[in-house]
Amino acid sequence: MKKKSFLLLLSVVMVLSVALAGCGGGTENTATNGEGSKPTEDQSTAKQNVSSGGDEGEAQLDAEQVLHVYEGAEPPELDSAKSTDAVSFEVLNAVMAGLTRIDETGNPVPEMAEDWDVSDDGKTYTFHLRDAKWSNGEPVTANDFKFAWMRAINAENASQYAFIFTDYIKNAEGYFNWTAYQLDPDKYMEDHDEVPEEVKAEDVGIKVIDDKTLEVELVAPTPYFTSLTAFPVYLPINEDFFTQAGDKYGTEDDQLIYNGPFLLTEWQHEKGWVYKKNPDYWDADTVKLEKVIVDVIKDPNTALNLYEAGDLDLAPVPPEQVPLYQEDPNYFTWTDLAHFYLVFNQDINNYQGPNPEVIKALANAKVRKAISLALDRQGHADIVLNNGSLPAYGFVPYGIRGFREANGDLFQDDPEQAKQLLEEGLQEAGVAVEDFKTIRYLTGDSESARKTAEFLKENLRSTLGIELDIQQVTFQERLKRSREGNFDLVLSGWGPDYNDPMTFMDLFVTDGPYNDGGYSNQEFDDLIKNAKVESDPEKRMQMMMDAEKILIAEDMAVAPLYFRANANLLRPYVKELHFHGIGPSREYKWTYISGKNQ
Amino acid sequence: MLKYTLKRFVYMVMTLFVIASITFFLMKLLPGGPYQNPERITPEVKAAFDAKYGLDDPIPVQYVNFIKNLLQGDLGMSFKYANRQVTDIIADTFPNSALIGFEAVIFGTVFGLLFGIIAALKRGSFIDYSVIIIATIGVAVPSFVLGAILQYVFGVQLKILPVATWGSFAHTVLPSLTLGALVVATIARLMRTSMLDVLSSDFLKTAKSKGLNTGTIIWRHAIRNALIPVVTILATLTMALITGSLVVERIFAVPGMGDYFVTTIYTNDYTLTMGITLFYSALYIFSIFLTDVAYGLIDPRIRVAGRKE
Amino acid sequence: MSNLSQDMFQPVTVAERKALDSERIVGESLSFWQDAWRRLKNNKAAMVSLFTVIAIVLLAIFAPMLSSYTYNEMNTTVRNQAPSMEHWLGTDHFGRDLWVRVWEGARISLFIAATAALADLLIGVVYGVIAGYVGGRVDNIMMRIIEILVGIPNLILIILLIMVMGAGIWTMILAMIITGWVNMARLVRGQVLQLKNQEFVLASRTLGAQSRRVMFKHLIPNALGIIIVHLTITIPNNIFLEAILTFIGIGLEPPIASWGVLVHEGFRMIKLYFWQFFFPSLAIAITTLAFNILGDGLRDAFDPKLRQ
Repeated sequence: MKKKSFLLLLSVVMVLSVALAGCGGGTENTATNGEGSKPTEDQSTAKQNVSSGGDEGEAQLDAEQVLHVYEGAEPPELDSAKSTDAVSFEVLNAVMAGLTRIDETGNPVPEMAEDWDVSDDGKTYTFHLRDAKWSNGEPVTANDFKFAWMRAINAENASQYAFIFTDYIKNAEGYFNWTAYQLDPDKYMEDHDEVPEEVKAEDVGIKVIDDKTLEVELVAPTPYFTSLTAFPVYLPINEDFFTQAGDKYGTEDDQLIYNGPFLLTEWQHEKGWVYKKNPDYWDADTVKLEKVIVDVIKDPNTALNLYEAGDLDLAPVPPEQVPLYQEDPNYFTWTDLAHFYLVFNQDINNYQGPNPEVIKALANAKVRKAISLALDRQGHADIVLNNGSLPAYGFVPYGIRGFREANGDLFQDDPEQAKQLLEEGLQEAGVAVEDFKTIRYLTGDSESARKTAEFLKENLRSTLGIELDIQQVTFQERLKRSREGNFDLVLSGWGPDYNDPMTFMDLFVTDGPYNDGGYSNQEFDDLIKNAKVESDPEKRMQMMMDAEKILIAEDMAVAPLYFRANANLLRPYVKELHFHGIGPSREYKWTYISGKNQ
Repeated sequence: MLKYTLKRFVYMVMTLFVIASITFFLMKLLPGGPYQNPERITPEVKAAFDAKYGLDDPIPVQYVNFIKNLLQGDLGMSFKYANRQVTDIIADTFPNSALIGFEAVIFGTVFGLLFGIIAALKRGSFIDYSVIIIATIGVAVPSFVLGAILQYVFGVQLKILPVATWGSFAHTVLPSLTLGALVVATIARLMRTSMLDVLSSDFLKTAKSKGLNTGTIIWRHAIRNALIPVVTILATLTMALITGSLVVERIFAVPGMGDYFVTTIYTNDYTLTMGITLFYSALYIFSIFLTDVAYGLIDPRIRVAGRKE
Repeated sequence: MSNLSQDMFQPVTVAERKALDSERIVGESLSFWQDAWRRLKNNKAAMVSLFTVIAIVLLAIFAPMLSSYTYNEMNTTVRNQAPSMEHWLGTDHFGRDLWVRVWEGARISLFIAATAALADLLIGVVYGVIAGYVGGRVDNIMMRIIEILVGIPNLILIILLIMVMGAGIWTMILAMIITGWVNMARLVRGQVLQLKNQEFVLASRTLGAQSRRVMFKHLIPNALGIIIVHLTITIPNNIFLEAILTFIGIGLEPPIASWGVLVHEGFRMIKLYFWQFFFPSLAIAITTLAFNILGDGLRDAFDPKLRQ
């Protein structure tokens, strides 16, 4: 009996694994904000793009113009003034139209604005709107924009993207503070020393000249402002409809009106929705797709199986599946412009932890360089990520206005030099080698964060003899500990909000809200401050390049690790589907289907 | 009986109240707040957000407000899913989760009982060992593996069932089977043990010596008595299925509640987490109540004993 | 019919009567445990399982010590290799030796699962027996407490636990106990309710046995079958609860490799390097099966009703 049952078991297990050997993957992490430090739930415009299909000129359109894609989640917030997440951005981008839209090359092209004038000092923009209609027949007016933008900067609405206005538009910050004070004076005074100056709504630099003219006054010349206006939070909202919908605004597909290329229909929560071509869209002739069917698929491997079964035209390729698909002609990768890097805690005054000696050591630039140089970035990108992500040797990713290409690699992996630097650095810092044997490494709870941790631990162990004490925690806990200084090293990520290096560079000004490591360098601060008001684009760019050299080459304030990319499969008959690194990641306006049934 | 039911009802409400309170304070211990984009939120915006939703009030004040709203039956609005009532979200998604859960329980119980009974009757035989092995594999293969295999074999390769998504009965088959495998395994093993206990007990021998035929004995006495431990676990199992279908819902893209359960905790969506917790708790407590009633129906001794006390 | 004559019968002598005493116990007297062991020895499947479990434990202890590789040492030149003489079970995506990792995983998984299961058993049995046996108000209160505990979503508790204690083996064990003991308690209580009004318990009480004696001599041994079966389900379940917690991102800290982690990681590679999934799975399947058959055998061996 024993023999029989054992053999049976064995054969069952064998059958099982044979079945599995040809089977499609496991499942991704259930924590939605897993992905360690996914910072990219919010962005604006892109230069770096990927688009599908070749340029075979005027391809033949199929009779059936239907695209079938997936989203990883339900859009939680379709009130554009309050949106912050990637899915909502993507939905809004498909069904709404702002002043501008980002084209294939990453540049803003006219949308609701027919054209615009910029004043000589670069601080006043006058937008001339075209004749366009909402899906309920009302015209799109300048007031629709003003109404939406004023809501975003009114503290009463607690829009989490308010800063994308208050940083640029004249008096917007003052208005935000004033409304915050109005909301609850006592609470406001707990955090501030003085009562804010009263700023009236009409003082804010958003002016309706007439129904078709909108004038915007900025704080400083902002060369990328027309890119910003393509950002979903800058979309218009029809005041009448909004008032009438009240609490229900944006909660169902009939609680919104549309002025974009598509109409949102058949939205079933958690299941999916359908974009239907909007016949009243101003540029309806350009839009070829009749329908885009979107299913909510949370597990990337499921999406991959649906793609294999022919139910989806687009699928993600999880890292472990890449070797299977990288030879597939439909496989491609595109970078989303996010940078993942290690932050060194170098501020002893904002430190929680058992061993202040570690922080004393990390305050020394040579020690930081030693750790950074000891890492095998190429190996990490090839072995752990394997999806087109690039090893990072600077802070600003490739694809942001040619910045990385111009400033080049700022250092190299060099285990030998690392050992020497560590010795010197520890001596300079006056820290005993024994006190720097174990470093805490804080990271997120995703699969890739886990593998990265394993890999880096082995790197540092074998080159410097330093042990990483890996602390894998949830997203929120990681943020909390980062802000509190309860870490030695933390893997952090940042994605751009707009297409300009500044979105990365100003992270590290002294006492900046996201400067968790407590890095501080007067020279760096000055360069950033001056770059922000410089109106000559070339000088401005040079200042930021110099600043990056200080940040990385001289100080190694953080250790760059990788520029993230995504791997996807796309059916060859889908043409002109654009992928953007910043803002809504897919653009359907120009997409069409050609040759599906061949 | 009425008095008993009423008493149980009061208990249920009290239990729920305690659970609500404990969950409230546990939630407040979690790091972070219900911000969509906590990595980017500026201190100014955060302050405005907190002020708007009363998140900066002292915890006891927040607690009192929470209980007040709760007593009025107001679970509030989700923080993450803007302007959507917690009750609406539950009403939208729960039926889908429940459908899969019940299909899985029915499938699992029928086959589990069948396997368990057969194994017990044919104890020590080839059939018995096969059942043990199948049951073992049912427990030993995690749902993320089993689900992916079923999906690949029946959806991608054979193309006889939908790979994923939702809509028709066909869409529910694979998720139910995946969930049900665990039930089959658990119930088969439990039923087998329980049956063996009963089969070797004195009263069954008495029944046999009274000349009852084997079929009647097995049906009237053995199975009925052996069901007791199974019923104990069934309510818990049903709840585990409905609440724990998280993995299966993800793999098969079922628009169910399971996923909310985890994501709301991670995003600190206090209101939605509280709402879902209370909903699940109420369901669970109700299922325990039903278990007790079922006990009484199956085992007269418990009913008698219960009455005496 | 042959004739029966008087002289065919002889009276039994006293000595002979003594030798034939029908009341005398012929066999050697056996204690409960001796008897159980005797039964277990006769159950071949159970003995094989017992040796399998012992072998797995021994391998878990010694295999990593005897290998020239360690579970965490990476060698990126030998990534994803198939089983060979150098690497008996192949290597993983970092070029780590799977033979060592599987047995290192056995250490961790078995330790976690067994510790948590034993704790479940201790807490659950005591709680269940008291609630079931004492009954009335005590039972009522104890059951309400269980309802409250079960009503709170485990995940909140587990996440909180990990925030307070940090991820790790002990956190994992505690998380399992929190979710596990309640089931054991409910099961035992159900069994005790059923047993306590049976004749032998009533008899024992009538004869003046104290509650403690009734609990330990009658209730617990009689419930032992179901407790052990539950235990054998709990251990493999715990192995997989660990995998699921890893799956949702709150598992053990790398580079610790439990079986759950190995299966989970291997599963992702299955289309390409199926051995990375196969061997850890095989280890789990064999272990689980061995525990189950052993549990079955023990149940029979302990079951007082089968003693004759």
